[in-house]
Amino acid sequence: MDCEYIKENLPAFIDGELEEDAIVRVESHLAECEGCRSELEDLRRTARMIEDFLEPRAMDESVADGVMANIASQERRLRVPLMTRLGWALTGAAAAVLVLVVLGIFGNTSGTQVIADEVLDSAVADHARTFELFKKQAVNSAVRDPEKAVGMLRMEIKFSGLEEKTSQLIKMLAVSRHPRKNEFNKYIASVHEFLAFVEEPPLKDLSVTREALEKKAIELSPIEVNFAKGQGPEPFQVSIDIPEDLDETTRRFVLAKRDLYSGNFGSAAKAFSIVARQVPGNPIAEDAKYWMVYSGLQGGSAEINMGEDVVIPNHMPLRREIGKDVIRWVEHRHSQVKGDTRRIMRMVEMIGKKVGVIIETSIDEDGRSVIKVEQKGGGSFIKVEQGSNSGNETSGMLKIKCQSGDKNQKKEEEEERNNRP
Amino acid sequence: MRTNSRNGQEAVAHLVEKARSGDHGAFELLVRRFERPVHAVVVSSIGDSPDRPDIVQETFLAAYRALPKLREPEKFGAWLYGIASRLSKNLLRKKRGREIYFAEMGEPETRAGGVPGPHEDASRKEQSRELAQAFAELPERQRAALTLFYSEKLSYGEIAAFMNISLASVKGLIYRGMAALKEMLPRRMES
Repeated sequence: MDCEYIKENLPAFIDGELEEDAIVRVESHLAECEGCRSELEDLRRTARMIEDFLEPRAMDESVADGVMANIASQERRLRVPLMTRLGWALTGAAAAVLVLVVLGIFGNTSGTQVIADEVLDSAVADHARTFELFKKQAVNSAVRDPEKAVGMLRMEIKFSGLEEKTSQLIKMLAVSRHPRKNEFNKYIASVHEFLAFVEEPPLKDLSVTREALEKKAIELSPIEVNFAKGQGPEPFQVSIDIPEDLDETTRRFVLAKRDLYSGNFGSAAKAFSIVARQVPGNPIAEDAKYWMVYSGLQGGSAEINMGEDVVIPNHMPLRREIGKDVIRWVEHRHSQVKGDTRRIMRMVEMIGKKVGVIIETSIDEDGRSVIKVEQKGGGSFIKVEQGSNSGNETSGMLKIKCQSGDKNQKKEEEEERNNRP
Repeated sequence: MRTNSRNGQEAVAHLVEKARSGDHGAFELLVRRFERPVHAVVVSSIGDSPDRPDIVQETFLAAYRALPKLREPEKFGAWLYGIASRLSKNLLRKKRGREIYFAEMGEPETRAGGVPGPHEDASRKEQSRELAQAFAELPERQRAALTLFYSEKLSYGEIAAFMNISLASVKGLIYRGMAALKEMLPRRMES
């Protein structure tokens, strides 16, 4: 047989990429040919060297977030007419960056110039302050006067300069080699998410404006930057005016909301659960159930036991939201504990089944968790409690028990206990 | 493998269609699907240049902008390969040249100023540099095929689809690349 033909097939032979009959041909030739055997050994060594040489080049971060943030920003700029430049009010550092940008970084994404990390830090800090302020104003406007929320929010976008600052920051990120670049890109994506939310359909339905905005604002927590002293954003807080003439239940509800926004998740969860039990059938009780679970998932220290008193009804959007919150929480825990992924995944699936959302989990090739959610029918109980047994490995973990509300309830509880390590 | 690859191409074509109709989620899936092969192609072209991440990102942004012009959606991967390789070449034309980046690639412990890392073994460093130089001398497509295979662990079939060439051509590129490296590195082979 032609040695040249065999040699050409040797790398594929080494790499396990030959078809069955070709393998047989190569093997029988190798048995007879000293020269090709020696070539095989040489190529094997070369293959190992190349593998060693190229291996460390593997990419360690995802570029998708940066790409999508960039696309979102470009399309927003096309859709929304350019805002007034009134709100620029750049700080000294950001102004310095602006000078750099004007000097020719525009449009040069191949990065022949670099933004100093400290300058970017400063610009992100400045942006984060603006963003937190904007969220605060946005929710405050909506809470005080939902009727005027839409107009108010448009004004807030305009005067906070958020839009311009965001597009500046994206340009800086494009020419930055900051070690946290990826994280900053994600932050930008969350800013876009909030801005899109302000303009999207939820706001047209005024009855959900306030709720939706509040949730979104809390969900999108500020980015942590090594701020110079006194530069960091104020923690997100909402001042809610409580009118004098409120009935006791509503008053309790509003107070619970204030606790929630101030980060007192435990007392918020407790207060919401009281409202939910006190006025069954009242719309405010339905709200309270949602917020109770929400507060619990945010890391409340209270033990909330809905048990038989409170049943989450067939309220699909509500249940889907809860499902998502469960997932967010698990993802958050996951990033903190870096525990056994499969164990956490099993837990998510089990919770999903019981809350009434179909949750498919998998691990992608880069080892990231992929979680898909879909809703399905059927009523169920949900029980949320905070682990209080400090000192063991579940310390500080929120335990979520969801019961399906049928005869199998006990059985499933049992099953859950068995699955717990 | 071929069937899988065809199924994969159909799925990609479907995502491209959705992305064209404005579905950002679909485009994001495409980015996640191809970010690693694109990165490998960029590495095979510009080595350890600090511009790597920007070229990868710019590849996807250029693809997004030109998406309506793509005639064969099932060849999205091959199209990306073309964009990534063109952008990398443009960069090299402007910059100081591929060899230097690859030389740096062979010296992972060497700082930008050219001072060797304290614990670096001299002969190992020498070998690494030789390999880097030899690699830089290979034709572009051979470098791309080798990087996709050894760094990204793509199969020959996947490489063929991504580079829009036949399976036999992939085999040929990898063989010629390996054979050339083997010839260029006689000293290393002896050690």
